[in-house]
Amino acid sequence: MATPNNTNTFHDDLHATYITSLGDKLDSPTSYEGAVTEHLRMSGVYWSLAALSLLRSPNEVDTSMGLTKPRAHDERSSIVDWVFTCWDPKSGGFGGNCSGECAHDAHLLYTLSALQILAMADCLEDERLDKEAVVKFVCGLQNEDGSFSGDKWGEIDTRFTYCAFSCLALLGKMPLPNWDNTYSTNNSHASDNTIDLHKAVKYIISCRNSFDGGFGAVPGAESHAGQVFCCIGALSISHSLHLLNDNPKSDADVLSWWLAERQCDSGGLNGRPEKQADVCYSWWILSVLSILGRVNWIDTSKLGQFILNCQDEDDGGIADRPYDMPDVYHTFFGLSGLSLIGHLDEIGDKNGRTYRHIDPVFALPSDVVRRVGLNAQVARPSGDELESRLSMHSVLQV
Amino acid sequence: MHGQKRSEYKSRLLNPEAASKLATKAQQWNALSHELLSQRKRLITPLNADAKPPSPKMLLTLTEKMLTVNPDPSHLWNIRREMLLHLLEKESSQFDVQPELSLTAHCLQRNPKAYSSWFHRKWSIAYMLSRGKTENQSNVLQSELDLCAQFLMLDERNFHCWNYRRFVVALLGSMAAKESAEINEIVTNNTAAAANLPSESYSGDWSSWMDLLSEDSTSKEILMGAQIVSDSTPKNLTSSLSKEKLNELIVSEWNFTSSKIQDNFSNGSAFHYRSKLISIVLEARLASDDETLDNAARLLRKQEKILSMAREEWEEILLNAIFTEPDDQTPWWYHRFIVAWAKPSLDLRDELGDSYNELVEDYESLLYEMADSLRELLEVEKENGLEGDAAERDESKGVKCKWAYLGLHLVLFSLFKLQRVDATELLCEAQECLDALIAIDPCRSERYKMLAAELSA
Repeated sequence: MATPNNTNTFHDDLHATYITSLGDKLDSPTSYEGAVTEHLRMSGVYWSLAALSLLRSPNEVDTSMGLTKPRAHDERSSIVDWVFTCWDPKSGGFGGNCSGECAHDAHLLYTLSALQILAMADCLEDERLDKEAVVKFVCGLQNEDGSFSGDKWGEIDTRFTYCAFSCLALLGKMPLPNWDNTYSTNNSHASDNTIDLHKAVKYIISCRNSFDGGFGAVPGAESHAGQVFCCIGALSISHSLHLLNDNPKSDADVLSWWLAERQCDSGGLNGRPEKQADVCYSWWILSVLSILGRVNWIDTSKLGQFILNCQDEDDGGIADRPYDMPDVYHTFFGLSGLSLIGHLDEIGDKNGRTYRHIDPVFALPSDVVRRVGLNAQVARPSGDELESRLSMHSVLQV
Repeated sequence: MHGQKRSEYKSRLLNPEAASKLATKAQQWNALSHELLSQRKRLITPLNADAKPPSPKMLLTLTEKMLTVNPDPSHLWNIRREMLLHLLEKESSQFDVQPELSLTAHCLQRNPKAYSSWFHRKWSIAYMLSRGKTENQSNVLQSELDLCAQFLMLDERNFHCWNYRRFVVALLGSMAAKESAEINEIVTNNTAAAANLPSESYSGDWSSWMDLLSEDSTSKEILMGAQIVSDSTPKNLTSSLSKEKLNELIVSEWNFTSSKIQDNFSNGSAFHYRSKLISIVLEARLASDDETLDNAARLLRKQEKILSMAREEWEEILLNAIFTEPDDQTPWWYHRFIVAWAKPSLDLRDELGDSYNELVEDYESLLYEMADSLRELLEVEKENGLEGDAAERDESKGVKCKWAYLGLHLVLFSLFKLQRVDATELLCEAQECLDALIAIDPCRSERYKMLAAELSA
């Protein structure tokens, strides 16, 4: 295999142009890419906004993307107006797009993306957002065993637990475990606007694998770095990270080590042993190592170099691997990776820009997380025992 | 875009012929998409009573046409399921699973990692079991295992397919447990309900029928959970007749992982499944035991069996794997699992008295054998030279010898924790492993320093 021409140049302007021109390209009726990805446009818009937010100020993002107001000379409505056309009042959730005034079917994945967009636009208080209905939609998807379905058709996956927790946090409705350990396990969601947190957390723990400390999509499934993010993110939002140490055979550090072993010779990270490195794992893995305070267990400078090697030097954007075609998903995760290892700060020092930071739990710019008032549990890097490193603590017991 | 070469992609766009073909495809897709959604809207909320409502069969055909091109959009599968249910309700016909199996098989050949295609297949199978024809069900499920085997030939690490396989095995398990009388009862109970969702027994949950094999709480750890939502309470399954069938099923899954691992030691998915199956296989092997044994005798028997199975895994699979491909991390993670799994629990000490010490001695001698082999492996590797040709190595392989050092460190540290012999030599050798690791794998030195701190604590 040819060796990538190692570049140290970060193509700030090219990336910004790549992101801001993407919507026009995809909306063209002759765009094949636009056609085959129309169903997940809500997530596409979220990735674009979050990616650009790491490079530009909230104001610049708003004007260049047409976030809260339509862009000059643009016939399309603002992104926020479009988000509300994708809301399905019958179910209370958001769809991935709308066709001719008709919202696509609601799904937890797109409901989270929609709320994340509204959070970045500072529109969570918009009167069109029926918070009660969205909360009901999310809570209604919890199953008897604590797991969450993605929609009414019943697919179960720990990805959906993360989506549910994050949605509830954004809506200010995430229940937290009681300090006095009186949280009721009989808290039924059927007629309620809340979830059974105890069962939900217990379900996450049941998806854990003892020998690598990782998590799968369902109990019995193989550990996968993407799924690890969903489970650790959910435990962090629910202030339950200390449960990671309940299994004596597999403490939080075994998980961190398994994640550190995802780093390949190329510097990039893979999602499971003996798989190829891919830029998206820069996010799935670094976010977890950030939450667990173990980013220094990998070689961050080699990883930063790998991400830079995946840039499209002609047209901007970041790909999964060097020489591949970029897309907005890998652009966002590549930039997030550079942010979490502090490389964006270093680049900013050199080119005289101040870059915003990504929050490892909520996958939103950290200033947005602060503005909305979201909080979660994370571990400090120093010290030994996980319990003593947790900056927030709860006594929920499974 | 995953795996799309930049140069090829861009030159496609620059080629007028290719670009115009893609543009035509896009326009066709957009037109179909619009057509489908507006027809569906008209079907659900007719504009006026006189207008002829769209035909659900036509909508079914439309979804099939679109999904064969792009199987990802979950709302297209939703519309398909809506139409299937609509037709079943209107025509009170029986659900025919075959068209759904063919369509999803076709879609999965195109994209074997599409979540929504796998989910539709699960839904269809579960629906068939709860509402459809009762004959041939286990044949259909058996052929699903064949389909999994085929997909795993194409991509042995496809986790969607492995998850689907466990889902099917769980269903076969509950069928073995139920026998036909109970199945009929459930089907009758459910036909009255208008619910879309199949009953708990068909959700792909291993928990209920696992109780058949063992009442032991440790098996709870290895349960495979439901993969699809369910709407009725689980039935208590009791049938001694089915134990044999369950055992057969478990043994055949165990053998399947063996053959996948023999094909390629790097199959982490097969090793993972093995780590979940091993405790169930253990229960199955113990099941034939004399039931007159008292509790202590049974615990002793079980722990002896664990140790003998662990030894089997080490001698028949792991040794071969690590000597063949010492720098592949896959078998090493399974080695960690086996070392932890085989350790006699401290809880046994009070129950077993002197026999406990014998168990620990047995475990200890397995660890010493492992240590000897790992030292030998390191010698062989050092003779071959540490400097491999870096350019020929796969990027996911780490530094040479790294995993042998990690394995030896694990074994030595486990021996040390047994606190049976003078620890100085063990600790010294374990420290040498860590020193070597810090030198050859500086990226992860923070982790090794922490392990070193554990040794000196």
